[in-house]
Amino acid sequence: MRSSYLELVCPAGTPAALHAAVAAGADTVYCGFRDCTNARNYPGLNFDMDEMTAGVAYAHEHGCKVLVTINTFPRAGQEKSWHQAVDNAAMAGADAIILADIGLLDYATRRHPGLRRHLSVQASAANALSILFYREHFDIKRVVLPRVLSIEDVASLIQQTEMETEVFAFGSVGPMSEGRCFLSSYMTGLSPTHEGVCAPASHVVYQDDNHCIKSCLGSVTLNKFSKDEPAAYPTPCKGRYEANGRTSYLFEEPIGLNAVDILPQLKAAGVTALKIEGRQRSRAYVSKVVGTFRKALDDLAAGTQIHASGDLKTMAEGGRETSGAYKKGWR
Amino acid sequence: MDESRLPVPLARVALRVIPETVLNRLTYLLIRRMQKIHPGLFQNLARLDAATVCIEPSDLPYRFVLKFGQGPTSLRTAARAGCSCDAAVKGKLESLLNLLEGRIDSDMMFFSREIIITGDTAVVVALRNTLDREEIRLLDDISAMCGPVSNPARKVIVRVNKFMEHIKTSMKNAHERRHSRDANEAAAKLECARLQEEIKALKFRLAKFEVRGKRMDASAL
Repeated sequence: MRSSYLELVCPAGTPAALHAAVAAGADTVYCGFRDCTNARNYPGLNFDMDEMTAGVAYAHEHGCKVLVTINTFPRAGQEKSWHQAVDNAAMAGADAIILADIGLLDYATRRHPGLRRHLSVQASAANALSILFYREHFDIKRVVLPRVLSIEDVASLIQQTEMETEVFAFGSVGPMSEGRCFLSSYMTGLSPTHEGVCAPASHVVYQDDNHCIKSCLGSVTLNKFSKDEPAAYPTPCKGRYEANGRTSYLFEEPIGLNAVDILPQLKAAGVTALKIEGRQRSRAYVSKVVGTFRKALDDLAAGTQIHASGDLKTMAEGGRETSGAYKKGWR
Repeated sequence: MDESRLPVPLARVALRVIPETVLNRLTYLLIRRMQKIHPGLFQNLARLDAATVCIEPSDLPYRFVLKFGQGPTSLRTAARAGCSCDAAVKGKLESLLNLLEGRIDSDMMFFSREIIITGDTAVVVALRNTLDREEIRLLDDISAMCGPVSNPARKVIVRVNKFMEHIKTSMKNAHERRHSRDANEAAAKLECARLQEEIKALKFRLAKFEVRGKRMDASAL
């Protein structure tokens, strides 16, 4: 399943961001409905049915595909909203849907057999048996791999499964099993897997304490940034905690993933598509990041040197970048 | 200068000199005009929960209070102290205008501490996402307030800003020239003093030679 071309899959939290992604050179855009059926259920974000239909039509006019993300897990007795989202994605003309829940995969397979299904990173399928299970039972065409694999792991999985794979190229680094952040659930009482938000904004409070910024999630203080220190997202896994008399980032530091320097290796590993994270980010972010990766991929395709190191540093969380598990593996 | 952007130096000066009552009337008219130009934006704002956000330009002596959600949207000025809002966004006027027009990523500004958010984060996130859906060009919207003379008004704004920039540049250059002239004068004075000292020393030596010569003449006689 090796392709000589790396597909650029870009985020769109709003119709304006979708237009920005298309203009910046996205091959594919992914977006979600305005409810808890997707994992970026933030206020004011996402698409209603009319916007989704118009967005798909606009993307298709410009030679771009649209994937609809329905990657949260239906709550017992409330499956109807998730089924409705699958039906609406099909009706809007989406090129594929990105799913994680087994029940929902089953529903989509039976109800819309012609609609491509991609396995969301939320499913945490990080080994060949797991991926092959989803392919055998739900005929998934692509798997989005978790950010815990090294390049060698990715290459090995592709060899074993012969599946289309999509890997994260830019965004955050998460130490959790994707989509199962129990820390956030514990601190807020809201489940990211059901509500579609990690560190929900309703529970986040920033306090300006004499030029120091204190970020809190619920009643827990996650971090305190001194005057000249870059700030970070208020996610529990990036909190700076005191343990055994020492204050440190216990799980993961606030730092952004950027794989632009290892694109040749990812291509050589047989990766099909690169995912840019950030449906919750602005259209300015989408333009900048997608534009940078478009140029890098065009340079790669042309066999010329990629000059993109450091271009996106300011866009990264905490103003710092890493190649994450791709180079160092997972702890 | 990007002529599609509201000139920030001019905006800053205008916001400092326009009396508060006039400014509030102008913001009222601007919001009304924007409702006509961006109906989708105001429909989306009305869909949000009712909230009040303080917009605090750190380089202005007052702040703006934006009310939206479950009713008409309004914008007015308020004193720096004594304003109770659900949330506040603080930063330089230029950063806040860039944010409004979607020119810069707000998370990036947050990471670099160019903007500071306090209070109910959900309110700010909802507002940011709603604004980011719309292509806002404030210069277009402000000039549109002038109705049939919007194009000339826009040209006037751009020209006044250019004039201001020209004055600013001229003053900067004059200042630098003045500094440079002062520096030249000081160097010339130093050189002059050095030459005067040298002349004085030469005169002294010459006088010595003259005395020595006279002595030699006298002994020869």
